[in-house]
Amino acid sequence: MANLVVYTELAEDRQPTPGARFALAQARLIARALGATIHAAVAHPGVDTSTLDEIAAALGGAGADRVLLWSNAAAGALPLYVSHGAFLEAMAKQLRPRLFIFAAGSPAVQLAPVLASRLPAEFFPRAQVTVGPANLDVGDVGTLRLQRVASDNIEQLDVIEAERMVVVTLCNGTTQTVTGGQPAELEVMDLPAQAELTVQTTRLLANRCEDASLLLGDGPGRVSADEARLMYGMLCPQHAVLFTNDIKAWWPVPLMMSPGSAFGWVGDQALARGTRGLTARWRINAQVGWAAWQSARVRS
Amino acid sequence: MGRVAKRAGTLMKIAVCVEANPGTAALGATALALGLDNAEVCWVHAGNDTFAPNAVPRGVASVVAITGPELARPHSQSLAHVLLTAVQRMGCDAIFCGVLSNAAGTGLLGAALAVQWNVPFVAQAHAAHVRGKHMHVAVHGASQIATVALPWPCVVACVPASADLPMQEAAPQVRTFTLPELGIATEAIRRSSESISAPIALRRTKTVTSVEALLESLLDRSH
Repeated sequence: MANLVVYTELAEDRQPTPGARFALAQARLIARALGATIHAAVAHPGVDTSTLDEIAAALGGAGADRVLLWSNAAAGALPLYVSHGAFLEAMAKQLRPRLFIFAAGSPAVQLAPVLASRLPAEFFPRAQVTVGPANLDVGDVGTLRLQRVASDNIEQLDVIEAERMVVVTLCNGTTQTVTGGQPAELEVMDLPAQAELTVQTTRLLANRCEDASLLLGDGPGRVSADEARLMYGMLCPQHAVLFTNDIKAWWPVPLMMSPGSAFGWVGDQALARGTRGLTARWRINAQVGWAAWQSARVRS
Repeated sequence: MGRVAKRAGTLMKIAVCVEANPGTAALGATALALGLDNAEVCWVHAGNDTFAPNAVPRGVASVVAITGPELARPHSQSLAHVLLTAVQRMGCDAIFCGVLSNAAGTGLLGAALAVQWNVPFVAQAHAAHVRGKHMHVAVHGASQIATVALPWPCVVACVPASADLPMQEAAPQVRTFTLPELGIATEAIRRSSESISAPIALRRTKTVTSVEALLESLLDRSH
């Protein structure tokens, strides 16, 4: 399989985010079955030499063989192709990977389709990965299929048969832990940002909701349950925050939602009626949550 | 550069790409475009169907459709080529679309438009306004909202929104073009190569049929 590249986001503690862990674990499954080197492509601002060993150990433990680190002030802003594109294209041209993998979330929406269009490469979004091991003794090269639930069918791509590189974004899934990994080999890349952009960033949620990709809501004057389902399925966020007093209003759930999805809860009550037995991953005060939601709402 | 720079802040022209039955993403994109100061907003559609929208939001100045049998399930790159040809002929300064934006729902169309036009692209936009020679676009990210100043021209893919737009009272007139009328060779249109199959069971997918079963699945971390 040669090379796999995983776009890897680091949290503020320089550990891979849950989505990045899942993507690296998926890449490790592929590498074990088919043989491949896993390169973690990391864009991170202001990394100093004292933290490089820490990052190499963390990503090696999550499944990466090598880390290619782009350290630039622009890397700290929201990942946009106008700023991060040169880094991604350098990865693709240098390593010529079979697969360029993005975890579910914002970078998958902002970066992956543009990268696929520019290379050009095959683009396969919201994929679940199926791997069959190779047995070269009998001439079996194994299988690697990407599958996606579409509106009324399953779409599938055989990566081994694909004629060119495949850029894939993953469906969300349960974070898996790869144990026993050695510290990854780490290389710092010196690349300028692709463009000078004026970007102002507002923190949307604090503390325990930091990894929420999307705020969802229902009820009068807010995004309807149907629209929220569409948004959820479209973006495949790593996590969702539901604004609802009745989880039954969310049935049926989006086709692409994995049983491994983690839920948060916004409200002062412990859990709403109908959610007995559901363990919310986080909970924030309703006032804070509504303020965040109002700041994020489309103002038409 | 786009026409906005030449016109020094006067009327700009925004193309909004819409499906045959414009959904919440297209309406959200339309709402953002209509909210821009001094913007002339046009709807653009490409497909093999007869594009006759039941209702068009008030403020949309014109509706353009490119039709032809070759546009049945086109690849996103080909669809982008067709739409961009029309947009450039119309003299638009920017393109707004939904994040999914085509029947296959891959999210590739906006990116393909930007790459073929060689202009900046952002997705997940939920607000926009014009200041000087830049469009300031608010973009959702993980745990943050960023406001990005994009130069003209640009492509913006918008999140769906529950935009309550007032509709035009009379059915709009749709200007229809064929591919040859736009100077596009029909053989240049690539069909989507995505393999379509009957529903099959995914190894890691558990089918649940009730709220109770869903909750049980959510708690089951064994798979």
